[in-house]
Amino acid sequence: MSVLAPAPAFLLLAVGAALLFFERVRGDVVGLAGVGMAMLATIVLWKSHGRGVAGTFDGDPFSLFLTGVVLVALAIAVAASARERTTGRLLVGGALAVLALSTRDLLWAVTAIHLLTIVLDGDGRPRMRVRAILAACSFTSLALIAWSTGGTDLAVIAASGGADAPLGGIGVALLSVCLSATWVVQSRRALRFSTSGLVDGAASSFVLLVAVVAIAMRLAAWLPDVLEETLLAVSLIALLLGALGLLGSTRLTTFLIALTLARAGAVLLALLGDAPGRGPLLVELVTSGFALLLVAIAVDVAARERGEALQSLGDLTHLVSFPARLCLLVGALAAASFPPFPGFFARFAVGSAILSEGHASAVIASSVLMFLIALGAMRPVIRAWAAENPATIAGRSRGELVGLALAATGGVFLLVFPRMLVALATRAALGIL
Amino acid sequence: MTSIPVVTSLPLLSILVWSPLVGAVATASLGRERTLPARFLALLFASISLAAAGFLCLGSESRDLVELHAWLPLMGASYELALDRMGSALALWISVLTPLAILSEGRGELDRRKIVLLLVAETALLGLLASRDAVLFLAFLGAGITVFTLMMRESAVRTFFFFQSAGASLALGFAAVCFHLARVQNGLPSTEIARFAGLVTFAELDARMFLLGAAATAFLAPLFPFSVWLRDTVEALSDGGRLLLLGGWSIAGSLIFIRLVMPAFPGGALEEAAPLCGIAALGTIYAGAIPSRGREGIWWVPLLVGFQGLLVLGLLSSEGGAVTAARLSVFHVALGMTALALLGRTGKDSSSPSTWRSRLLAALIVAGLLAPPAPGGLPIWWVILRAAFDSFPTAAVLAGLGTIAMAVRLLLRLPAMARGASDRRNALLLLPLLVWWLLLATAPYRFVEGFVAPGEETTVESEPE
Repeated sequence: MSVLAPAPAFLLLAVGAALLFFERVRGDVVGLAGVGMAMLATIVLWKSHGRGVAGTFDGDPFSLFLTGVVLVALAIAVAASARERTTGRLLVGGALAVLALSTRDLLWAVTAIHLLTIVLDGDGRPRMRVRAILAACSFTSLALIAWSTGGTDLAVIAASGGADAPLGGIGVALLSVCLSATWVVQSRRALRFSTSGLVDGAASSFVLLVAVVAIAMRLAAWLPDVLEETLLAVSLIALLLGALGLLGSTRLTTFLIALTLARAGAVLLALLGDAPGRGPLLVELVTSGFALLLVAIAVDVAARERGEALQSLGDLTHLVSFPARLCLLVGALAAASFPPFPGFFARFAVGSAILSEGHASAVIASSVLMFLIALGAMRPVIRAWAAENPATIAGRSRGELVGLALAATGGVFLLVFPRMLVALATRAALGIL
Repeated sequence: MTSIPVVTSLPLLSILVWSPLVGAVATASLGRERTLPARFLALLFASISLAAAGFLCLGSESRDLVELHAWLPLMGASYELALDRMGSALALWISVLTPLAILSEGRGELDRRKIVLLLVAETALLGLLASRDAVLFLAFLGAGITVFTLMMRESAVRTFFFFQSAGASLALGFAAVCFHLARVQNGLPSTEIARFAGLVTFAELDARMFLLGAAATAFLAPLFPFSVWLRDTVEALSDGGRLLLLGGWSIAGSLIFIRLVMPAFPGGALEEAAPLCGIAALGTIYAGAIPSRGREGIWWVPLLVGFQGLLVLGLLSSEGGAVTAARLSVFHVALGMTALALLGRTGKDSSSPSTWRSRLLAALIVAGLLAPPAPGGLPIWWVILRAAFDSFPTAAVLAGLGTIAMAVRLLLRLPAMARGASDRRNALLLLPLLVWWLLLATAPYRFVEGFVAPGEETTVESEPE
């Protein structure tokens, strides 16, 4: 079991590395085959009876569920994107994310996260100074935790009780803030420059978000009282910034960054719901990936139709085909958890779990912010649907087909028959400890 | 009428709700240029829904029809559809309204997109009426808001979506808190609306929850001053969209109040009714007094705010007869606003002088709006105002003045309405409405039997069958 458990990550790593070295092979086909094999390995591990200890690279339900989420996101990105050269990097990044989310040892997880950001950066101009500061802060916080608790494994930290000491508590809070900041910097970089290759950017941002949320969930599960205030503050700030960005942005890329931030805030807020909130949180996380990828595909398709990168929200007005407009509508409103779009029902369970923990003010604040997010998310939808007679595009591009398939699949599994997903998420949430 | 086993074994409620959506998908799959087949296809699917609604409304066993399937067992959400007498009558009304909306559009004006959106809006409206689960109810509510948002021109979209999504968010918050309370009190999660009525709360929470629900109603209905979007929205919609918005969507706010808020927190309604009565009464003044300068074509739109105000006033009064009258007025408001929207259409004969027939038609509509009979025979608005005077005298006086102003306004516009009725197409489309009004006037108890207020059972049951 323990030999087979890291198979999904190793398969991704192997295929990704091969693609990076052999540029002549078709990246999309090989990439999809690699993701498919990793998914098969994940399903086999899920179905097998003898599960390992949670968070020890040993095939526990929580790690396997999130691995599946990462793999689906990677498959969508590889299928929708025509940029074959980035596939290898995306797969290696996915492998590192799977490693980060499959361990309860913070040293492994944090190292994997920072390696992941380097891999996803690629050949661009990385903001090395910011990265270095964030990495230094992360490892300093790990040192603080190790100093006060005697280790970086969450089981050791929880058993020692050292996280309740001032130094350990500061370390945990600083680590969670640093990881959140790392995700923000990476997402901003992945999404800000151009609408071409946006699907890859959205996928990499989401994959990193899954890894960061997995670490945050483990921290919240093992050290329930340490992170409460930090989580409350970080999630509400993310929601607020997301709402303001969505309402005020004129550039498409800023809009997407704000949407991503808003989703991250919604997911992190669900952590306040403690154990009853974990299952709905995982549903929220899946909804986030679905929504972000759908919006990215819509914008990507629109950019292809136009033949150049889109700049402002106004560019969506005339040149958007029906599948792209549908993807935009479903993605944007699912990101705002607006009924009846996929995943809105999770707000009931999340709200109830947070109320049970006594955070009524957080529920009220988040409800107001989600309303603002819905208003902001609707802006590009209104522009795209305002055109009376949008252009007719001959034939359907691959992005459009993937977008339609994703919208349909998401509609089925997140709205019409969500029972299976909710059951899987609940089982995964129970397996976190 | 005896039930037919083969028909009752069908999932009639699902057929009623989803057949327009199937029609929308089928219509969308036709080519863009083929608008005539699209119109026929849309009418065909709307007719299926109409047939199902007709059977449910006129069949004597309709109230026993319930469809219940597990949807999200871990959250206690289920696919639960049911219709009582009032619900089935409203469903029949919506099923009549949609073909009217499709037919009201001129041949050159109705493209594939409009047809698809009208059919999806019908599904949302019927689902709203039939759903007995809060998650399902909110799903249809959100779907309706989204469809109407996509239906209108860009100029009015933002205000419409702002106010309606604010209402939906408040309703979502209301339902989420009810879900939490139900989970805590019963030990099991459930989003069944009927369970919310059995919640045990303390007075302060009761009052707060009532205010939350009332705020959702005020945004969605709309009540004054949350109605600033209304005129822009009506202007930004085509004829068919106007009919569905005013005749169908205007029911949504009242429905939330009747189905969710009042049964769950009646104590809060007793404690905190005054502010809601105040804005309801101010709504009638607004409807009667707001000038229509520059917007002569839609002078009648603010009347919706006034009538909704009277409806809410009736629902909040402590007298059972007034509550029944208010529930009955849901139909009258929907019919009246649809009739006014039809008369406001600029048909090809609209500019011709009015005839005695058109004047009679307009006079009947005004009479139907101003003096609809309650089960006892007295005018509905009189019953409501008299009952409101006992509980909220200031609000009742204000509402009375507002109602007089609305009546004067309607009477002054009678010639213009007669000109609208002189258009043959308008007159034909008005005929089903007049039949409805006749039914409502002659047998009002048939429409509210399932929704009778406590203490009113004897009044209603004593009416002859």
